[in-house]
Amino acid sequence: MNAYNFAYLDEQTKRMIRRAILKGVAVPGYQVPFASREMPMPYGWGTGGVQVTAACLTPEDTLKVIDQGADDTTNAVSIRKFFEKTAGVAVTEKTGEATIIQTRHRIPEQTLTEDQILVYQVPIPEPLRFLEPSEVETRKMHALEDYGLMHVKLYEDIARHGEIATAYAYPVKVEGRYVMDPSPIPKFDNPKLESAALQLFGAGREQRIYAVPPYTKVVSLDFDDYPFDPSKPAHPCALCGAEDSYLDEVITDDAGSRMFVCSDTDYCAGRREGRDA
Amino acid sequence: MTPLLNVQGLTKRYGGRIGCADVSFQLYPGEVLGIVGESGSGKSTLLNCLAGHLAPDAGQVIFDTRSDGPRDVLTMSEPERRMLGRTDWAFVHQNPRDGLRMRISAGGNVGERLMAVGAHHYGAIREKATDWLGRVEISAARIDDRPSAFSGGMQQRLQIARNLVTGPRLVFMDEPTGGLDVSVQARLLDLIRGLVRRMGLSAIVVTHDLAVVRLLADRLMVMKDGHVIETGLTDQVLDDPQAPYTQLLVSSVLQV
Amino acid sequence: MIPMIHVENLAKNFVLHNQGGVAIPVLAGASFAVAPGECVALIGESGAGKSTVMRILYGNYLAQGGSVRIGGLDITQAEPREILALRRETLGYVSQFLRVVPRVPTLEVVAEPLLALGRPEDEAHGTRARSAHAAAHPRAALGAFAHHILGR
Repeated sequence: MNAYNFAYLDEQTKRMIRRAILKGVAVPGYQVPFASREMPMPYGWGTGGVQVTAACLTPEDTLKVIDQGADDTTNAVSIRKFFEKTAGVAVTEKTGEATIIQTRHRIPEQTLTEDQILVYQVPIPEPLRFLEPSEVETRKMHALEDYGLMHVKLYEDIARHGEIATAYAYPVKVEGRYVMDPSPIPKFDNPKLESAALQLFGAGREQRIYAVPPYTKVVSLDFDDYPFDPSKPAHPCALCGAEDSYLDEVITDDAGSRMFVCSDTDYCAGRREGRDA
Repeated sequence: MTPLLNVQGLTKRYGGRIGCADVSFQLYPGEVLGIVGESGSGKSTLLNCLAGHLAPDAGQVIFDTRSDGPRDVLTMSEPERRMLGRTDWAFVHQNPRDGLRMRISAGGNVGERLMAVGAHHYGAIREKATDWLGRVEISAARIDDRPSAFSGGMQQRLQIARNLVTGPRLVFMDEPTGGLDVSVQARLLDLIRGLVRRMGLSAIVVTHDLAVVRLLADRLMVMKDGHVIETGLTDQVLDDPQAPYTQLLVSSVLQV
Repeated sequence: MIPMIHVENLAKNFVLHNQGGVAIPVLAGASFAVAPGECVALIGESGAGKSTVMRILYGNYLAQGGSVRIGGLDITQAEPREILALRRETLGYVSQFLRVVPRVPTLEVVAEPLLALGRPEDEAHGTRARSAHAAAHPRAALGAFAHHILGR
C-alpha cells in the first residue's frame, strides 16, 4: 500500500492534529477545535478517533481496536484493517500487548499502563449541549466555569427517576476545572478515567479533540446526598465468572433465554485461558 | 446612605438613532423605581444597559457590591458580572419563556441559581425550591412539572421564584405583567408587591402600564425619545404631571 | 415654638400643555404655620385651593414657588425618598377618596404602614386591628375588602 502516506493522513494534517492533541494535554478536559478531515468512512463511525490514532501511530506501534468492548464487531474490524493496510502496523486483540487502543464506548477492564494511549471515538463532545443548544453560550460557560446547569440535569434525573439515571456519557470534572463528556462509556467505566495511560478524545464531525493526561484527577459529578455510583452488575459473567467486569446481556434463543457476559471480549477470553489480567 | 445603584450619563445609540441618552439617577436600598414611556421610548434599552445585557456607549452603572462596595458594573470582568447576575441581581423578563428553561421542571428552574452558586445537596435544594413555589402560590405537587404545562400567570410566578431564590438585592423587571389577562395581572401585581415589601427589595420596573407603577413604584421616571423628561414621586408624577408628554400619558389612561 | 408645619409664600398654578398651554393659577402668596398639637381647619369655597394646599403638604403636588417645611424638611426641595420617609414616619393623609387596591383586605390596608416601618407582621396586624376597631369598624369587616366598607 505505498499509494498512501503512512496511516492514511498526510504529514501536514497529522502535525495539525498533534498540535491540537498537545494543547488538549496542556489544558486537560478543554475541547480543542481542529480542522477535521474527510475520512473514507461515514461520520459516526469513528472519524475523530481514527484521525487521532493516525496522528499518534508510529511504525513500531501495536494497535488494538474495540467497539463496545469487543474486537470482532464491524466497526472495530474495519478500523483495524484500515490501519493494517495504510500504516502496516502490528495489530492485536490483547489489551496488554497494545500500545495504542482505539475504543468506542468502553474502557478495557485490564488496567492500562504509562506506555499506552487510549483513543476514544466521540459523537458529541459538548457535555452541556443537550441543556444549552448555543455553542457560543456553552463556550462561555466553560470559560467562566459556569457549570450550574450540569447539576440541573442531575437534579432532573433524581426528580424524575429517584436517582441519577444518567448511565453513560456521565459528566466528569477534570483536574478541578473543565466539565467533560467522557464519550458514551458506561458510568461503570468512569473510575477508570483516572489512569496511567494517556487518554485522547476525538470528535470528527464536531471537530474537537480533548485529552486526559496520565494520573489526572477525574471526578464524576454528583450531589452530597446522591453520591456517584458506578453501578456494578448483580451477575457474574456467564462465561468466565468475573464479578468485577461490565456485562452485556445476550439473548440466546427465541424463548427469551439470556445470559450476561463480559463486554470486554479480550478480558473474558484471557480469564478463560488463564492469562494474567 | 450609599445608593445601591448610581447611574451616571448612561447613553446607548443604535447607529445614528438614540436608544437612551444621558440617563442619570440613584436607587436607594428598598426603593422601587418605575420607568414608564411608550414603545420605543428607550425604557427597555435602558433596562438592558443597566442589567448588562447591552453594552452602553457611555456612562457608569455603579452598584454597591456586598464585598467591595460601590463598583462600576460596566468595567467589571464578565465572570464578576455573571456572578452578580445570579446572586445579587435578578431579571424578570416580560415573556416567561425568556427567563425560564421550558424543558426543565419547575423545581429545577428554581434550583438552578442555587446550584450555580455551589449548592450540591439535592434534598436542601428541593426543600428550598418547594418553599419558593409556595411563596409564589404554586402548589408543591407541581414541582416536577415542566413550565410548558403551566398557565401564563403561573409561568410568570415561577420566573419570579427562580429569580428571588438566591435573595437578590436588586431586581430588574421588564413589563412583568405584560401579556397576561387582567385578573391574572392583578394577582401577580399583589404578589410582587408583597414580596418586594417583605424582602425589602430594590427594584427597577419598566412598563407602559401606569396602574403597575401606581401600585409598585415609589418613584417614577418618564421617558420619551430616549430622554428622561420627568422624575418624581409616583403619586406626584401621576397626579400633578408637569411635562406636556406626561400630561398626555396620564390623561390617556381610560378610567373604568 | 418651632411650627410643625410652616408654609411661606406658596404658589401653585397648573399648566395644561395639551389644552393650548393654558395656565390656571390656584395659589399665590399663601403663608401659614401650624404648631405641634394644634388642629387647623382650611375652609373656603369649592375651587378655592384647599385640597391643592393639602396635596402640596403631602408632596403629592409640586409647588411653583415658596416653601413648605414639615418637621424641618422643605417639601418643595426634598428628594422623593425624603418625602417617602416623612410619610412613613411623620405625615399621614386622610382623603375624601380612599385609594385602595380593590383586592386587599382591610386588615392588610391598615397594617401596611407598620410593615413599611419594618415591624413584624403579627404585631402590625394586631396593633392595627385594634386601632381599626377603635375607628368603629366591626371586626368582621377586617377580613372584607376595604372598598366594600361604606363611607370610604
